[in-house]
Amino acid sequence: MQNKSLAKFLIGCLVIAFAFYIVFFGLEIGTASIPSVQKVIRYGLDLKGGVYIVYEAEKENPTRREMESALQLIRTRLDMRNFYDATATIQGSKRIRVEIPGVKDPDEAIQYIGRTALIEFKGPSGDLIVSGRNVVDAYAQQTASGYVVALKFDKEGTKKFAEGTKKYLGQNIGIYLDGKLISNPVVQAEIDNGEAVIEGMKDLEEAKTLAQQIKAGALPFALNVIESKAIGPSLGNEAFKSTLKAGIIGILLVFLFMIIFYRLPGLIADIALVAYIVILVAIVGYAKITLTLPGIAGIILSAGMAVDANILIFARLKEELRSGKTLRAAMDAGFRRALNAVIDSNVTTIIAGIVLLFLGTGPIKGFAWTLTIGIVVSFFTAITVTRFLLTSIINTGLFKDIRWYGGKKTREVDA
Amino acid sequence: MTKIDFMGKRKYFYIVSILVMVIGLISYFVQGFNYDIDFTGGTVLEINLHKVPTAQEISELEKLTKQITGTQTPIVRKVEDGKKIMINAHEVHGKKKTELSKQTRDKLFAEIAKKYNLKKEDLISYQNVGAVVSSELKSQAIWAVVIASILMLIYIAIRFEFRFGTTAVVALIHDLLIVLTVYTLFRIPLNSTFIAAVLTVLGYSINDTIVVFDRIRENRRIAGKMDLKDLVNLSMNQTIGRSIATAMSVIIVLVVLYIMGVQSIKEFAFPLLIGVISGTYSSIFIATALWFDWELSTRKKKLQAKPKRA
Repeated sequence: MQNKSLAKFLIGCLVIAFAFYIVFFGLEIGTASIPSVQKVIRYGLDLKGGVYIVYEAEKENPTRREMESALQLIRTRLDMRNFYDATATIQGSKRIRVEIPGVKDPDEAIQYIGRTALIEFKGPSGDLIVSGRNVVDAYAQQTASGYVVALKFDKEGTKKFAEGTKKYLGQNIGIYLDGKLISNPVVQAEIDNGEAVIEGMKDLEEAKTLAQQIKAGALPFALNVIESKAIGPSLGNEAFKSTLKAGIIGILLVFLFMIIFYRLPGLIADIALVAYIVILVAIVGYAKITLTLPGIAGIILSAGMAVDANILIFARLKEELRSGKTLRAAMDAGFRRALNAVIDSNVTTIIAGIVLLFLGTGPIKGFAWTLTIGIVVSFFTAITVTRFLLTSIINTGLFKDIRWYGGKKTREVDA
Repeated sequence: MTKIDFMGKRKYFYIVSILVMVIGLISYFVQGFNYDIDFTGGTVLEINLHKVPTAQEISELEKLTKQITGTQTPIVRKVEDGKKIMINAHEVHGKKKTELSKQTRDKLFAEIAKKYNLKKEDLISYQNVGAVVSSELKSQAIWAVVIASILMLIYIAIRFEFRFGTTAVVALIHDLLIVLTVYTLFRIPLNSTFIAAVLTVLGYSINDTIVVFDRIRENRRIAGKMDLKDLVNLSMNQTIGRSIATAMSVIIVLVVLYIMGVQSIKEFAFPLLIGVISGTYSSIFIATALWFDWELSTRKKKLQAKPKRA
């Protein structure tokens, strides 16, 4: 029984240490591998520097589809400039937030992304026949000759296209996207039904993307820049390093504090806190939650709060021991009687976190995520991990003196 | 066990809290809040001067900013090690305040660069925020606090009783006012992290209050006909150790963050620090004391309602 308990305790610690190792250093067995969290974690712009721009549609109540088309257009433009790290997301009903890491000048990026010039049909001498403004619909199609993008012009466009195809019969009409030639077909016949086809698509995906781009270009609204920020990479790096260092020192001090005030249970709480950090960092890293500066603060703060649950339990444990209970009975009573307060206090903090999650934007959202997840994880580790380890160590019978549990005088207590 | 008569001294704590809030109110009317760009709209430039500017140089920089941008009250403040500055400015178009145009911004930086012999990369960062975003942030902050408070009140009313919920929320408002006092008194810029700071304080404060209330609830069940004052004092004495221990564990982390963090973290850690201290204090001296007074007055009314027996 006693040896078995000791084994249980040691195995518990080993599992936590192993998880810690995997999360922070990665693991490779043969071909299978788990990357370390540093490699997969997504840093917010405030941690790595770059530019962010918030656009707003210049239109009342744009539809979700219109917004998605605009988003697609922005992504295409970012890709065309090789900003593969950039992210673009729809915010609310009429805003798009673009984040480009590593870029220094927002004005340059704004100029490029924000332009509304799009698909153009030009004659051999470069004269404009018809542009995306006259396109009412564009969709991908599979034909006998492969994948194509079919276009439908409005009345004015139909007329212009008919004139153009008549004029350049047997010659090439260039199709340009943002001034770049993407297709240069020869006109076979005059087209007066308002329909055009762009051929030569590699696959359905490419055809779909182009169709979306063309439609996006035909969007009736412009995008206005309402917010932009450039963060120097040195600032981001400095901020990250100092915050991380402060966090590690702060948590080490909390470790020390717990051991001094709660002795053996304090040490157990510290081990549980390590488990908490491993689980939280793993969730943030592998679930690709963007880590921002306030997000790190959220992690550190919820770590501080994670200790609270254990303090509640241990304070109870101390009281029960004082009233003369055996260790096991005191521990059971400590956990049972502290549970209500732990649940109620955690739920109320989660309420604040969730409200923040719904109302916050940008870095605040990062804070809300880490805080909310942090509290849930801390609740789990404080109750289960602490209890498991504490039960096993008490059952070994090695620590019978009440002073191990924060008692003042030497007194043996039965397990 | 230490025996402190918390409830007997509750008047003093009411006075202390009211005093702090009065100071906050005076500070608010004298100097108001230091609204950051997130709330006013405009442009913030962060510039590395490579030297700590004197007070005179700061006012010269403000004058220069006013000249070039037309901002009525530009704010120039030292950040981090003091060798870097942040400039808040905007342009005025009719009645609207807007961010600086690229030309104005470039001109302003060029002038400062000439004066201090700076290179291009010494413009560390700049941020433009439109007025739409800022007014939205304001309402967002207020709504976040209101919604979170109501939801917490409902939760506590269900798990405990209405009276506990109400006094807990009053203690929250107390903490919020203390935090706001700190913001106006120390001119900490009010920006979007402010919302996170406030909500964290609310979450922490309620957390602490609940632990105390939980003990009162439990003792009331066991103790039976114990005198109300003794019962509350007993509960306080039982929980004070853990209240201090919990506050300490969070305070340690926040102090380290404040000492070592960069500017934005400092501006986040300081109000949180005050909020956590205030939250611990209010859970004992405000929430519990108010609940005690409320409970006492209802009991007295009940007693008066009953006819006296000889």
